[in-house]
Amino acid sequence: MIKKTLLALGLISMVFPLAAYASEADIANLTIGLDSLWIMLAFILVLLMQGGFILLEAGSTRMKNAGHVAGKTIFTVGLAAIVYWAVGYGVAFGSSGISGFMGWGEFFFSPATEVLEGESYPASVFFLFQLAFAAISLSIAWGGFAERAKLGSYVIFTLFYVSFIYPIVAHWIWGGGWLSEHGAQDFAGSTVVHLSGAVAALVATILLKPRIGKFNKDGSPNEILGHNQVFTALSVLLLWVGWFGFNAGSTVAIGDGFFAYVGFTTMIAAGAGGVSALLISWAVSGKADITSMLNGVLGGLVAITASCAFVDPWAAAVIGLIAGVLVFYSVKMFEKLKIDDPIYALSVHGMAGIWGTIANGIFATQALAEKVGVGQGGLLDTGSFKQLWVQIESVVFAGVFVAVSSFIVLGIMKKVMGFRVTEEQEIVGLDLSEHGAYGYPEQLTKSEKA
Amino acid sequence: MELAKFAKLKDEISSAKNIIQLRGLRDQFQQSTGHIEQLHGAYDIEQWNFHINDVHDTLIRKTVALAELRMVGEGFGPPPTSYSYLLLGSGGRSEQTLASDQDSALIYEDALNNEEVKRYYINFSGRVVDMLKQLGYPPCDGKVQSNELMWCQSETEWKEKLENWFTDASWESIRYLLICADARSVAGDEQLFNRIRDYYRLGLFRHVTIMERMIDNTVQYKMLVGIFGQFIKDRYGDHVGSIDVKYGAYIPIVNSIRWLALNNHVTSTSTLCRIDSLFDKEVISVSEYHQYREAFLQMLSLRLRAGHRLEEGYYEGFSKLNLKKLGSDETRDLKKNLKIGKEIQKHVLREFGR
Repeated sequence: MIKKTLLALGLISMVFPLAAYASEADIANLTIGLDSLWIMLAFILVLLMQGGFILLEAGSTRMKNAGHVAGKTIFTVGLAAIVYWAVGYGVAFGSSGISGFMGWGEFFFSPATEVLEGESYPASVFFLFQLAFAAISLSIAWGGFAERAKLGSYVIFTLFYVSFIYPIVAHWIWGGGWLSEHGAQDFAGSTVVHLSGAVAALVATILLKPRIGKFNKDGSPNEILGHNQVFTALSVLLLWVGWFGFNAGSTVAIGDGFFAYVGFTTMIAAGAGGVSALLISWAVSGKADITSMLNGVLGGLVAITASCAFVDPWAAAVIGLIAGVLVFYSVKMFEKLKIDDPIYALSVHGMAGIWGTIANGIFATQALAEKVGVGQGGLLDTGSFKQLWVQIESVVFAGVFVAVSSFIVLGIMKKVMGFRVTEEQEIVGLDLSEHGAYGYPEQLTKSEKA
Repeated sequence: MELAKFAKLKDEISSAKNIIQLRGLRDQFQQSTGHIEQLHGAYDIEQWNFHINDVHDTLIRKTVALAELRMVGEGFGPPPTSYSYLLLGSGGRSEQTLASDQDSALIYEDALNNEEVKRYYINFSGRVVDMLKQLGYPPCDGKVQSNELMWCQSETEWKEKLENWFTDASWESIRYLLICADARSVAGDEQLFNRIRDYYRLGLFRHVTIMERMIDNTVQYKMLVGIFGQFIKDRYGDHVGSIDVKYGAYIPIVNSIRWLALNNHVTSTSTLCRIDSLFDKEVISVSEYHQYREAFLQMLSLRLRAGHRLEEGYYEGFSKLNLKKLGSDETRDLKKNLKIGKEIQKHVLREFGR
C-alpha cells in the first residue's frame, strides 16, 4: 500500500511538475503568459471581425461595388496599422498627456520585446489589441462612404481618423483622459469605437449625399437591395464571434474568470437584440424582416459593449431587447430624414452605441463598477443620477468632437480633391471605375453598367 | 353618371355596328364615370358598381356578337354548336373597375367532330379577346383567357378537367377551382354553363376534403393592418405611403367570402350577393352581415378610387392607393374595416378549427 502511494505521488509530480515545484516567480510568469495569450487571441478575433465587415458591406450593397468594398477594407486596415503605429497610439496612450485632452509620446511605437518589470502583459500585445479597435471604428465609418466615395478619400480620411480623431476619444475614456477621470464607463467601446465610427459615417453620408436612385424627386425613398443576404447573415455571425474578443478580451486578463461573465452578458444581449428586432419588424411591417433581425443582433452587441462588465444578466437582456427595437425605428427615422445609410451604420453603431453607453448609467451595479474599478453603480442600483450624467456627457462630447473634426477633414477633402465619384463612375460601379475590374466578372460586363 | 344616361349608353352599345363605335362608347363611358370621389355612402357605391358592371357586360356581350358576325363574314360560318362565354375573376363577380383586365373562358356543346369545333371556338375566342383588347381591356397576364386551349373546352372536357382538379387537389388545381368558382355566363347558352356549375357543386360534395384544401389559398393574402392596428404601407418606391387596396384589402375579403359561400352551397358569384346568402342561411349573424357588407363596400370603393391610366390603348388599373387621399373619417373606417377583414379570414380558419 505504501509503495503504491509513493508511486502514485511520483507519477503525479511528473505530470504536474509545476504544481509540485513551481515558485511564485514561475506562477507570475505563467499568469503573464496566459493573459498575453488571451489578449493576443482577442486581437485575432477582433481583427477577424474585418472579415465580417467585408461581408456586411459587400452583402448590403450592389454587385458592381463588391470587389471595391472587399479590397478597400483590407487596404485601409493595413494603412490604419501604419498610421496607428506612427501617430495614433501615441495620441491615445502616450505617457505625456496634454491636460487630459490627448496623449503624447510613444510615436512610431517601439515596444520592448518582452514584458517589463511591473507590467501584466507585453506592450506589443496591448498595441495590437488597441489597433484592432481603431481599425474596427474606421470600418464602421466606411458605412457612410459606401458605393459612392472616391478611393482617395478613404486614404486621406484614414490618415486623420486613425492618427487623431479616434485616438483622442480613446484617450478621453480609456487613456486616462478627462472623461475617464469623471468615471465614464465604456468597457469595450460603445462610445469610443462604435459611436465614433457611426458619427464619422453620418458626416460622410451627409456630405456625400444619397446614392443615385435612393430617393425620388418627391423625396420618397427607393429600396436599394444588397446583392447577397447570405453574405450579410454570415457577416453577422463572424462579427458576433469576433465580439467575444472585443468584449471579453477587454478584461485583458484571465484572472478570476471575469472575462467569461463579460462574454455571457454579451451573448444574452445579442440574442435579445435579434429577437426583439425580428418581432418588431413583423409587428410593424407585417413581415419578419431578415435585415432588421440581423441589425438587431448587431445593435444588441453594440449596446452591450459599454455595459458588458457592469450589468446583471437580466439587464443585459433588457439592453439587447431595447437595442433591437431602437435600431429598427432608427433605420426608419434616417430614411425619413433622407439620409442614405446603406450599411445601417448610423442605426446599428450610432443609435445602439448611444443607448448602450447611457444604459450603463441606468443598469450598472455598484458591485460590478467596484470590481471593474471604473465609475459607480447606475440609477437603478444606487438611486443616483451621477453615473447616468457622466454617460450622457461621454456621448455628447465624444459625438460632437467626432462630428466637428470629421466635418472639417471631410469638408476640406470635398473642396480640395472631391469626395464623390462622378455620376458615370457611380453608375458603372466602383469595381470598374476605381480598380478596373469587377468583383464578379462573369456576372457583369462593362456594357451592362449594372 | 345618372341612371338615364347609363340606360342610353347601354342602348347605344347594343346597337353599335362595329368595334370602332364600341371603343368610342367605352371611352365616353370612362370619361363620364371617373368621379368616384363624389360617391358617398354604401348605397351610392353599390349602385355605381352595379351600373358600371352592367355596362361592361353589355360591351362584352356586344363584342361576342360582333365576333360571331365577323366569323360569318370571313367564311367560318356561325357557331357550330351552342356555347357559353364566361367571365371569370372580377368580371365573374360583377366587380369590374373602370380598368379590369380580361379573365374569360368558353364552354361549347359536345360534338362528334370535337377537334374541328374546338378549332372554331379557339379562332372565335381569339377574335373576342382581340376585339376586347381594342376596347381597352388588357389581356390577362396569367393567360386565363377563352382563346387558350385550357380555358376553351367542350362540356365533357370541362367536366373531366374539373374532376381532375378536384381529385388532384394540388396548389395549382385548387387555384383553378377557385378561379372557376367565380365564373358567370355573359353571352351564349346559359343552360350549358348551368350544367357545368352544377357539376362543380357536385364535385364539392363528392370531394369532402376539398374545402379544407382551399383554405391555404383563400387566406394567402393578408389584410394590411398590423397587430398595433397600424396600416402596413409601402415603404419604398413610387408608392411610398400607399397601401395595396387590391391585394391587401379587397382580395382577402373576396377570397374569404367565396370560401364561406362554397362551403355553404351558395351559388351566387358576386361578393355582396354571397354575403346576403350567407346571412339568409344563418352562417353569419346580423351584426356580421352589416360589418362584412360595410367592409367590402369600402374596399370596393377604394379599389375604384385607386384609379387607372390609359397605357398603349388599354385601361390599366392601379392597385395602390395613397392614404393621404383619404379623409380622416375614411381612414378611421378603413382601419376598422381592415380589422373586420381579418375577422372574416378568422371565420374561415375557424371552420376547420385552425
